[in-house]
Amino acid sequence: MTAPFDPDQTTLAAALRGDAGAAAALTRAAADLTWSACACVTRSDAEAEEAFHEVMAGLRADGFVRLKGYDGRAGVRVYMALVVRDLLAERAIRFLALDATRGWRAFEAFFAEDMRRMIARMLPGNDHHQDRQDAYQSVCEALLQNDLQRLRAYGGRGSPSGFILHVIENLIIDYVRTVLPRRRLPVSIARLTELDRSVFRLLYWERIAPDPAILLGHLAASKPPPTLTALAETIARVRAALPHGYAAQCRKQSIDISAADALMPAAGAEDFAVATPEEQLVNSQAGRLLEQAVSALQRALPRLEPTERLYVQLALAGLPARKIAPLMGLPVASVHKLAQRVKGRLREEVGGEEAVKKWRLSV
Amino acid sequence: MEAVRLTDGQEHSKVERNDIAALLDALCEHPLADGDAEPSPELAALCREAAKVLMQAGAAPSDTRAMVDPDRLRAALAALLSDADTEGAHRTVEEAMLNSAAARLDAQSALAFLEAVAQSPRSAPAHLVDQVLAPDKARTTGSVDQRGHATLANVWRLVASGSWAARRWRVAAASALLVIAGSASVYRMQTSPPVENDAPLPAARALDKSATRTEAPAAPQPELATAKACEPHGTAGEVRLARSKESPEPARPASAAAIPDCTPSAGPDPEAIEALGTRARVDAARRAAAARKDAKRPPPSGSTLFGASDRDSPATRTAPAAPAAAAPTPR
Repeated sequence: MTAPFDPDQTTLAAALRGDAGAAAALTRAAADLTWSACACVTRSDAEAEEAFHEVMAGLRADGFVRLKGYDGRAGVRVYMALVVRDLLAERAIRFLALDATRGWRAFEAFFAEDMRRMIARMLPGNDHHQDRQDAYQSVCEALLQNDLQRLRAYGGRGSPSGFILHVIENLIIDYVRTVLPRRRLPVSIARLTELDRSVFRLLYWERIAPDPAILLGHLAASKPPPTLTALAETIARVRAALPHGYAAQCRKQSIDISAADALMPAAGAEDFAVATPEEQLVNSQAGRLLEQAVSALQRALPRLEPTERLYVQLALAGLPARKIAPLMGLPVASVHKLAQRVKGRLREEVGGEEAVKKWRLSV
Repeated sequence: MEAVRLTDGQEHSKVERNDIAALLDALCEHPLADGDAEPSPELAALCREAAKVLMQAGAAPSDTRAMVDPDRLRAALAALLSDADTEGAHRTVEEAMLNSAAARLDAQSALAFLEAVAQSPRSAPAHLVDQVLAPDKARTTGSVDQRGHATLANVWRLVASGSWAARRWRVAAASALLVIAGSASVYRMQTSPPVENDAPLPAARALDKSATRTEAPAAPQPELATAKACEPHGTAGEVRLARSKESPEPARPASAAAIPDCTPSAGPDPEAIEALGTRARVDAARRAAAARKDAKRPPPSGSTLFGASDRDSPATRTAPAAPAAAAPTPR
């Protein structure tokens, strides 16, 4: 990412020395940035103004002490933007401690985008639209539970926003675990095309009416969007492929993911149709494959270079290359090369054992 | 199915191994699709489970081993996001993100935040910037104190708003102030009326209005809003406060120079002075009464501050000759 602002290191240095004129200039320089940031994380102009005053006061406190960590490498305004973000996060957390309603409003305004982004990475695609909304709701409920117990567990080490995001990510993973394993496609449906599978999910998981016109509205983002005739044929194909006795699965309203912490079944989770023997076999194979892939990755990671390891970590988080590049300080093209290198290393790790060599020879 | 031995004593078929490799390949390739391709359910599950497992495995040692200083991490992250190609910054961020899931998530969030701010740039309203800079003009220090006071004030407001006992105490204090104010104004009308002659300063009026609007929706509360809890309860202070409430006059420090009756009389014509004094006292009494009448009303809502409804007020009874137009007009 290109730095969006020009640095003004001289002004900052003078302001840190106590120069009143420089302090005023730096304040003006920070004002637009702060206002833009406040507008991003508040719901109204009045809230934005209030946040603006608080953040500017925090920024200017003790002679801009929050900017003393600036080491001259970055653009001043990029650094200031990060400080402003920290101040806004601290403000949201402080409000939570003082007033639950107001605090939650500020907290949600600040973290909502992060939450939605993380949920979208773990529940991608049009088919999971409702799941994403449910996940957001469940995560919020879990955060609010027990008088914000999870958030109050912050021990003061590291970034508070990082801690909160970590909590949120764990909650999302817990939620997704409660939903997705129960949402395995029947084998006969899994063999069909992507459109067929999407229609199956809409019909039998989302309980959308089997009307091509209605289904088309839910599939509008598909590229290219199917025709009504094609959809009618798809419905017929899905029905024909459906296992005997397969029942539509009701959507729950919400899942209590706090129970997932104790490895208990989620309250409200629906009972799904009993899998056929074939499905049970496939499910067990898939579960075993997943377990082995995770353990292979666990073994391989320590042997990778730090940069390669970080790439895997970011890839696991679902980040695309263009987001990974700035975080790793690399051009996007280098990220592509890195991906190929990591792929090769992981293949080596998986295939490096004696037995694998035998297998290679046998192949 | 041919079984081969990998690590940890686990046996896997070559088919499974091939699937593992394919899954890990998909993991490496997934970011390169740049978000256009939806991951397979298997890959999504791998991402989810592996992220959780690796996070739990790495969290405990990293937190105690290498917690990167937040300031240092922020500076390094800013350097990376500024396209400053510094190896040190790269290493710092990499180390932090590898060792701490929280740092990794925070960095991702910071990147998204900067993008959002850069995509919707706005100019700060000038009056807000002026308000921020205003303390600099008055004094060069004290921003921290102000912030502290603001926080304390917020906390105090929260505490006070939740305590009905405190409210009752404040209402009682306000009633006492009203009594003192009434008696003081009567006393002042008889002794030093010229004080009332001064029209209120616009700034002071605005301050009063804002305090009334924000703090006191009910009738007796405007007095509460202006009364400072920490103000010493000296007699002079109370009278001055009461005076400022009973009339639109600003709460100015009472000095001898500001009160004509207190200044030494230097004029050679005592009769003219006496006539002037009498007229001034009459005018002052009329205006003070009108102002007191106004103070009993709800906050002014329009231009009819001293309109026809004042006919039956004590002010008009006391000074029947004074027309409504004679009331002091705001400057």
